Amino acid sequence: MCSKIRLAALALAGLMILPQAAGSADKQAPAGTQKPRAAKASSKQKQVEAWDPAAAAREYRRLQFELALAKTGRTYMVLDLDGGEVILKVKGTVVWNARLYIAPGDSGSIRDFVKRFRGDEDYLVRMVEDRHLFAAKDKTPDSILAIVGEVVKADPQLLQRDIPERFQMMWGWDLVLDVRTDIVGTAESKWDNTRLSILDALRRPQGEVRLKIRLASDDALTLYRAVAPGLPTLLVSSL
Amino acid sequence: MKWWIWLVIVLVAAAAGGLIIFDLVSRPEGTPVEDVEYLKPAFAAKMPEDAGQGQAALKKARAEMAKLKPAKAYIVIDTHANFIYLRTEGEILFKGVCSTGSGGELVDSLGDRRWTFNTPHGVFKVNSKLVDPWWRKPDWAFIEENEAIPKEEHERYDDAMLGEYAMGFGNGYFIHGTIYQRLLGVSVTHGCVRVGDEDLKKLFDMVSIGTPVYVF
Repeated sequence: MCSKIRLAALALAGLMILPQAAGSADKQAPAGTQKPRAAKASSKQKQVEAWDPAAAAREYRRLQFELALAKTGRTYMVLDLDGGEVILKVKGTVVWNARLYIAPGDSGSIRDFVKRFRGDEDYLVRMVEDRHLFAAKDKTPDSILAIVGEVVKADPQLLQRDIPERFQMMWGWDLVLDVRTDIVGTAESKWDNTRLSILDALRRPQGEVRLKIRLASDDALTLYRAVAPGLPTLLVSSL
Repeated sequence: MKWWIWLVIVLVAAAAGGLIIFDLVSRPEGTPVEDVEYLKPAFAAKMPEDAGQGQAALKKARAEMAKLKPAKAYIVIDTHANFIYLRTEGEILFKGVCSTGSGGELVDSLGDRRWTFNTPHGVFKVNSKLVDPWWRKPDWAFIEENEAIPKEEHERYDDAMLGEYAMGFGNGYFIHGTIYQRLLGVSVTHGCVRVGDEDLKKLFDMVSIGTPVYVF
C-alpha cells in the first residue's frame, strides 16, 4: 500500500517536472535540429575546460617513451609507483607483474626515489646499470644439475638453480631498488656482500636513495633473472 | 707501540680508504638515455600547445598504445622462472610449470653445423593445435645421442616424446607434453616448451589458433 502511494507520488512529480524540463530545453535550443549540436558543443566546451595541459603533457610524454620501448620488441620494466606495481612488458603488453610491498619506514622516501630517477633532465626512462645477488637458495641440487647438464650438453650454471633471497638493482651508483623475499638462502659471496654493504653505508650520506621492496620468491626469481644490466625501466609516478 | 706497527696500520688504512674511494668513483654513473637511438623520437616528441591539437595528439598516442595490447587472453612463457600462463592484462587465467630451452650448444663433429637450444623470445601466435602429435626428429637429435642420421624418413618419427597435445608457435617450436615430468621447472629443453600432462590438457582446451604467445 505504502509503495503504491510512493509510486503515485513519483508519477505526479514526474508529470510536474517534465513540461518544465522540456520548456527549458526549448528555450536553449528552439529548433529541434539544433539540440544535439548544442549539446555536443557544450560537452566539447566542458572537455576544453577540464583540459589540464600539464597532466596531459606528462601523459603524452610517458606514452611516447613507452611506445618507443614497445617498438623495440624487447622486454622492458615499468616501475609503476602510482599503481604500486612492478611490471615487465613486451611490445606494450604485460607479461609479468607483481605488487610492490614497500617496507614502511625502512626505505628511502618514494618522493626522493622519483626525484633522483628523473634527475635534472626529467628522465622517464633509465637503464639498469648493475644488479647484485646477496643470497639465494638452491632450487635444484647440484648433483641433479650435473646429470641434467651432461644430458642436455649445457653448463649446469646456465640451468635454473637459485631463488633469490635478496638482490639489488641499480640505476647509477646512487639509485637502488632492494628486493627481498621470505625465503632464507646462503650468501653468494660474503666478501662482495660485505664490500657492498660498506659502500652502501658510505654512499647513503652522499645522497643515495634506496627503495626496499618485498616480493614472493617466484616473482623475485623472474625479476632477478629478467633484469639484466641494460634493461630499460620506465618510471610511472605522478609525484 | 713500536713505530713500524703504526706505519703498517696507517698504510693498511690508507690502502683500504683508497680501495673504497676507487670503488665509489668507478661505480657506473648511469647510461645517458638521450643517446639511446630508439628513445630519440620520444625525446623529440612534443605535445602541441593548442588544446584541440594537444587532445588529438594524446588521443592518437593512447590509441597507438591500446592497439599493441591483445584483445583476448594470451599465452606468456616465462623462460626465467619456467612458468607458462594464459592471462589478460589484469587477470591470470591459468598458470603452470614448464621447461624451456637450456641454452646449451651442440656441434656436429662431422660437419660445421652448430645448434643453440634456446626458446626464442618475442611475440608469436599459436599456429597449430595437434592431438597425439608425432615428433619428426631433426638431425641434432641423432647427433646428440651419438647415433647415425637415418636415411629413411620413417625412422625419424617418434610418437611418444611430445605427449598428448602440441601447440605450434612458429619455426618448429611447440608447447607440448613430456615424458620427463621430473624435470619440469628446469631449463632443459632444445627450445620447445614442455608442460605437464594435466596442465597441457587445460591449456590446450583454453587456447585457439591465433592466440598470441609472448616469450620473455
